[in-house]
Amino acid sequence: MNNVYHNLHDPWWVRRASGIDQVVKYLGILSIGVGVVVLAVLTGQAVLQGLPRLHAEFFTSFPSRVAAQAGILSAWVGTIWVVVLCACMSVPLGIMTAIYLEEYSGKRLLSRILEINIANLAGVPSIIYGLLGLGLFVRFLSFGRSVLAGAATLALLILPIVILATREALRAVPHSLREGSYALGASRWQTMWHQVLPAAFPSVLTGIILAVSRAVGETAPLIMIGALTYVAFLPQSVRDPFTVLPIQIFNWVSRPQQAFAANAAAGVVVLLGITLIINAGAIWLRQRYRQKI
Amino acid sequence: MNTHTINMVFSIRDLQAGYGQKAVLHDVNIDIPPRSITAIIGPSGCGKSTFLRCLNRMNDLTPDFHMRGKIMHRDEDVYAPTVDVTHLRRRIGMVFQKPNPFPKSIFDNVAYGLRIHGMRDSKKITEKVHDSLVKAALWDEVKDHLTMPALRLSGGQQQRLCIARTIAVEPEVILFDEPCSALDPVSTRNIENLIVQLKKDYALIVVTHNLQQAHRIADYVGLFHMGRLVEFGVMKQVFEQPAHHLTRDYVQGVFG
Repeated sequence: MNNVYHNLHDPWWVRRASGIDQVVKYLGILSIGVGVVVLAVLTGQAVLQGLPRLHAEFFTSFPSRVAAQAGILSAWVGTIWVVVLCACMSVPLGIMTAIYLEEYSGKRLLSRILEINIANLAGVPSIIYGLLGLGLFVRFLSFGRSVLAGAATLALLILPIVILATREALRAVPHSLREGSYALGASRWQTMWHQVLPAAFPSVLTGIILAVSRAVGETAPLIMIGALTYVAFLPQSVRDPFTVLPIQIFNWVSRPQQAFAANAAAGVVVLLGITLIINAGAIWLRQRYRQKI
Repeated sequence: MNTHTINMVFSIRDLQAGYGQKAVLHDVNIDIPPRSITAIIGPSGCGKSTFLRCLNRMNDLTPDFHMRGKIMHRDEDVYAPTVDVTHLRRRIGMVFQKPNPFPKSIFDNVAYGLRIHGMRDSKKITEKVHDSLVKAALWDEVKDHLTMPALRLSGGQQQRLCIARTIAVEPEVILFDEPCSALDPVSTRNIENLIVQLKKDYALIVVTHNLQQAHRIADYVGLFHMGRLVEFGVMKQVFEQPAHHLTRDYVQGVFG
């Protein structure tokens, strides 16, 4: 019998190799399993508990002392105000910063120091940004406890993430594309605008969406700058007080009555829904963009 | 070597260049004649690509690049501080080793150069795109699907498209950096025929490590070795009666 394809005579560390493959595979399946099961249980529980409360009035009512009449109108409107305003501030700032650092500044010491600091800022706990927002926006610039202060604080919070993601995306654009453009006599900005940015756009978008999703769910810094927990009106301008979904949920969860727990669960479902819609929108945009190329 | 340098497209004197601590080119003196094909040959790492990239200041984009000496294009100093690099690169076109069409339509690939240099009239752009594609011997193959993404073309077609977009901005010189080394033999022959065609309108400088290619298309040949120009002259003479023993060894395949 021909034993060429059997490794019986190989040393143990060679025979072990295929065994390790199996172990790695099952460890991988196990790891994925943990994540999926935990997520499914959490979502399932929220949906089961919150579903009875998810009717139209829940979205159109202000919070109330009576659990059955309480809704999330001011919370979801506030979330949209804050997140849209936050994106309007952080996205242009972040992208321009990344373009400057990646394409214009060269590899000097200053840009290296900036790079390290931005990477560190991306990891700073959000409560610290809340303190900064309280000191800078609420008090010093006297924005008050307004939508503007909240959005500006969240914009600072996600700015490092936007910058890092955009830089990564710009770096991933092949050098040959830039060379082709420069060789035709294009300026730096023309090359950037017509070639590099469109090529980097899908990745930039992914980064922005991740950052914005984080802003949607952020609670601590907004509590720190004094977002209200009971708001029975809608903000009419950026200078008005506001609340957001995570704060409303937090408020309901901390109440002793069981009925409010159902409200909180329903709020969680809505929050998850918003995040999901944002992500789906990004995927759709990216797909459409790829087809054009 | 030709001594009356007035008519030369490039006159290069005492060119030294390198990256950071590493010196790549030493004391290169060369005159490139107009309406002809100059092949730059030599073993890998001899500095021929660096030399080519000095001519349209493509090396400016490389960190740590430094150079000394003088490169005159006609009567203009290429490295003079007053030179507008975008204008210079428009007049001195470049085609790269790997075809690098933009991820746009075939039409937009050629129109891009026209638009960035300020052409707005869409009729004129269409006309110019047509002319450039005809000149690059690509028109017949793509005329029915100009809106198709350029990345769907074959490698050889992509390279001809890159030549077409270079021609579109009306350069005086076209630099080729090993334009066929990523292509199959048939595409290579197409590109070579095209380069020979183009010589009646442009000065062409072709870096190649393919000796047969230099033999087939070149009017003049320069051999680089370890950053120095070993020999430069009329193609036949360099190949058949080389003045330098390194040239003789290289064209006979003793090293390479």
